Amino acid sequence: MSTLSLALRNIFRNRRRTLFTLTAIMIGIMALVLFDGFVRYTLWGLQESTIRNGLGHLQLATAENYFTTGNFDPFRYLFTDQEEIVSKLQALPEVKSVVPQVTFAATLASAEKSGIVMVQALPAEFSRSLLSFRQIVAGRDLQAEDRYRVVLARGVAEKIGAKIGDTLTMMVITRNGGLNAADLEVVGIASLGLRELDNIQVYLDLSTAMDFLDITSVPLLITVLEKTEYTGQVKETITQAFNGKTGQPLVVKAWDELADYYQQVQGFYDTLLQIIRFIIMLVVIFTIINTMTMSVLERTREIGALRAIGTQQNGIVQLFLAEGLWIGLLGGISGVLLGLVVSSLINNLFGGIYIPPPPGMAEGYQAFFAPSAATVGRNFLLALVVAVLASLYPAYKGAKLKIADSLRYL
Amino acid sequence: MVVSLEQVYKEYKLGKTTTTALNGISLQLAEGEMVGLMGPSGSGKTTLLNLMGGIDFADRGRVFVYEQALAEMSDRQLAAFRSRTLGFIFQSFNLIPVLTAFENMEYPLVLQGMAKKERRRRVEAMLTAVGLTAVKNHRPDELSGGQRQRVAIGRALITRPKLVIADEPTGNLDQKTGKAIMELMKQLNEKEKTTFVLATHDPMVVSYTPRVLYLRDGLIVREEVR
Repeated sequence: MSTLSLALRNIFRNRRRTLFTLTAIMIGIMALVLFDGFVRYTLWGLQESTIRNGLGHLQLATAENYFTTGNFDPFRYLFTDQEEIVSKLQALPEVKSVVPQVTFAATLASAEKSGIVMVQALPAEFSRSLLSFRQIVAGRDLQAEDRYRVVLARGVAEKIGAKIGDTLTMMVITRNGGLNAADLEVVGIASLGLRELDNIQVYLDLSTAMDFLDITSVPLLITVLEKTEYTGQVKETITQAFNGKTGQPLVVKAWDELADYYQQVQGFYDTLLQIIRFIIMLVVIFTIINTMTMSVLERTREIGALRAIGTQQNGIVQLFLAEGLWIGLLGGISGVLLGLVVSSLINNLFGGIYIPPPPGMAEGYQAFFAPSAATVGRNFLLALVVAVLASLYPAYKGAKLKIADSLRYL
Repeated sequence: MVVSLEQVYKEYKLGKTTTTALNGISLQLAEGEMVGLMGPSGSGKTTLLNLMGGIDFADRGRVFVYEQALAEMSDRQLAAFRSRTLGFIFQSFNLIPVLTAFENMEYPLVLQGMAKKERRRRVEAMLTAVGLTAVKNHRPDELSGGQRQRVAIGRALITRPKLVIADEPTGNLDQKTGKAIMELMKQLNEKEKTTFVLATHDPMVVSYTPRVLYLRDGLIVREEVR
């Protein structure tokens, strides 16, 4: 007759009360599993959209400053041995593609309106892989043979009043300080998901851009990997392989170092999750304290008898902590299982839940619940720890009862 | 001496009123004695038993059991003392409701850390001694009053205590069952030389105890030795 088996029998003495307590824990843990799963999916979606909206997994430049002011002075940071670096990068098995890119500010004008835009120019054949989250909403994407053609983000097209087939004039300061202008045909309009990008972004093919800017190499190499998980490891490999072995200094940045918005969203969700977790656990703690305190009260005489026949105070504490442990274990397991079942039902039966556009986003999205093994483990452990902690006070109260008084208790 | 009390006083406070439970009692019990405590309700019988069992403490005076001053022992020492030296029998049995008759008797042995095989042997023997083998897997709510009290006696005696303290052991039993229970205790007293102290209102109980102490208002007012 171990303390654990005695505790298990004790928690089912008052089945209805235990069932209510277990239900409270189960619903709390289920809610946490669902919310964890939702946050995980949302962050994953944002991560992939950030990476495939032009950021790539890793970015290589010749100076740290490029990442802050490079778009306004790309000429200062041009690679001198671009071909060699690209071929070395492409030799890495984790690397899917290396995309040379130049990004620059320009003025874009229609017959009536003009505005400042940010031009992202990369080889047209990489548009699909690197900009896969970009949705062409009118016309078509750039193709390899396109020259002096442009794809506008939806916000830019609306502001400037451009439509497919229009010719717009782009003006830019070239490498030697001169002003260059070119006529560009609008072939496509794209939605980028992020409103701030939708209002400013324009896409050109790299050849046109290099010709237009009068440059022969680019200031930025974007590396797309086979899987996002490889990011850290490949960054390390590149840093070690190229350190001091290229003519220019080389700075490698991972996507998350460059994605301020992603980090803000992650921080926001982490805080939200902690607040929700705290509130749910508070409710669970008080439910368990209530149950256990009632149990101690009802079993006052029994505690007195146990102590009279030689059980130490520690033994009483252990008994009630073990009861808390069982409640946490059963509530945690059922909560986690329910969370997984409900996640699967929502994902498979209802095709996720539609979430309206979050702040700063242009469009809503279909959210799924993607609870991970870590989510499940974390919430299960939380249930256990919280249940045992919540039992501490009632256990202490039980252990401190005066034996003679408790034997007289009616 | 098994038990020795020296000028023991004990008061209880109930709200603003103070009740004197023991008013300067001195008492000595020798090994193998079977002593009855009689007296009206509130005369101090249960308090006296509680002090001997180390589950309550005197306000003044000293209580020794086997030459040890109980008031000077830590909780851990007292628990060990109760587990190894004492057996408690209560009027309302105080069995653990989720445990079977077998497990209730086994529990004190678990507390002592006894090996499972030895525990089983002892419990089976005790079940036979108290005549409960047939109902050993029944829980207390499936047993009659007499059977429950026999489980309680089994639980108190299974550790082979030197001193058994019983508070109204037949209080909830009919005369026939009460007698059977007393016969059982008498046998153990004679066979094992176990010391018994029994608080009771029942003249039948004291007919089994060669020494009877009569209490009133926290004092021993009369003593009979037969």
